[in-house]
Amino acid sequence: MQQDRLESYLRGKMGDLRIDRMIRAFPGFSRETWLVWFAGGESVVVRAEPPGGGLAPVPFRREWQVYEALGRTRIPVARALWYDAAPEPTDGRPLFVRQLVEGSTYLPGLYDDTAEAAARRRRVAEEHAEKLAMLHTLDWREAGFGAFLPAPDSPRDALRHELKTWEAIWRQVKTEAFPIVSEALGWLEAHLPKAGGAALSLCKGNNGIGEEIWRDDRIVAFSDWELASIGDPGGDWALSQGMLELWDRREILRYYESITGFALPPENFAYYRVWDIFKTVCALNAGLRAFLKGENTVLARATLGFGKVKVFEHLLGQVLTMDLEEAAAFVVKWRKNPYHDRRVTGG
Amino acid sequence: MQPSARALIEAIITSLDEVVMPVVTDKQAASSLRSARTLLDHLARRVEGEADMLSADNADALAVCRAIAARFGGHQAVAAIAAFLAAGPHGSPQGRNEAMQTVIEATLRGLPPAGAESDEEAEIRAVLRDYLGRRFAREREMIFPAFLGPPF
Repeated sequence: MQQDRLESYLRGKMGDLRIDRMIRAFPGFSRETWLVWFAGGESVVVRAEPPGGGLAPVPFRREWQVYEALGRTRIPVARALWYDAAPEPTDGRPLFVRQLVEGSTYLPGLYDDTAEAAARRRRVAEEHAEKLAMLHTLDWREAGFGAFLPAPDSPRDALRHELKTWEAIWRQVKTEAFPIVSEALGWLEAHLPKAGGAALSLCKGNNGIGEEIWRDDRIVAFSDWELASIGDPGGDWALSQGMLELWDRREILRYYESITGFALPPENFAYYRVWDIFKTVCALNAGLRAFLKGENTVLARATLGFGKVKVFEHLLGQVLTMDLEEAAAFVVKWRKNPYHDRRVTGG
Repeated sequence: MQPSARALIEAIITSLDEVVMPVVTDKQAASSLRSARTLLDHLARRVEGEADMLSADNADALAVCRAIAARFGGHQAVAAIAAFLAAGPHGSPQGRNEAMQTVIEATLRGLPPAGAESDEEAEIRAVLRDYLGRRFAREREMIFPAFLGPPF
């Protein structure tokens, strides 16, 4: 994004202003995210559809709708300013603009091998649990999310609804034949937990470190809502980027359940661990389409959409002969979160 | 004597690791460099092994398809395999490989869920899964060592 073109565009929307500095948020592979500070102190975030489309195979506009609706609730989120379906600075790729909330998406030093860092990890885990509980107890119907997010009929139906939704997406977006993934979808259907979901909640999708805006070890804004859905809140824990490993897993969940008032069926956690592998394969491989067409040649599109997908395809192949607990224990050994890698985050 | 393609790629990786990476401070640039290094690692393995792997895999897949067609040819589930064989495998090794994966996926999708099949259908599934296991074993060395690190 060129600064002069963006400045001209923002002037047309916000009046006389001058960009002091702008940086592209890291990593920002799913959708382009630019942090923009104006001379005079104001700041905004410009989120744009990347060339060839985002990683997550869901409509770009939906994320804007989530921000807009959340702005009318108590959930901490940046204020949504406007959506533009065909803006000039991106050559027509849609964008939306939101207020910039100062903070960081990751927490340098959190994994240090010290007593202070260990205590800090506990505080961060509790903070995350509190904020997820706040989100999962939101009355999403009252807040209007039912108007644009498909919802399962009941908590009992939530996991099957998620499976069928993403299976349909997978059939549309995959870049080649994946026979083993087809078999894995059959395995996932056969192993759907009997209990269903704990509740029907507004779920964020990817969450935790690397996703939210943190300041002083507090989540000051949930960020990046492209995978938002109505479903079983347990699914968010499966996509929480290793937050359950920050402290005692049972204690974190007990704390969360004490706030929400509902209990997460333990069987679902094992299921979600395997489900996460499939869902990640689907999203990452969808992102490879633009690379193959030459529309987006960012190298991570290949390392993720081809390389990681291949690794995960192999894992799913081995899961087919396992029971649920065995499969969950197997895949978790291979699931590394890049946001917990110092080579990626620094610190 | 000329350096092999693998030796050249590995030298590039060493150069990136030892000379370039230590002085790259910008996060996006460092990330792009990590991705480039990962892809080069994959290419170093692929450049030497891909042709043999494709040749072996194509031969295996074709034999499996022929065996299934011969044994279960009248079964509706193997219609995709029969049509593929009737058309005759053609095209580049990569193209043939992709075509056979498509046929195998269609065949598996046409079967009832695992555990709910007839004996014949269970055997078709088992034969195809066995083949896919061998395929994974063949390609594993090109995939796992390269793509287990940070992807960006």
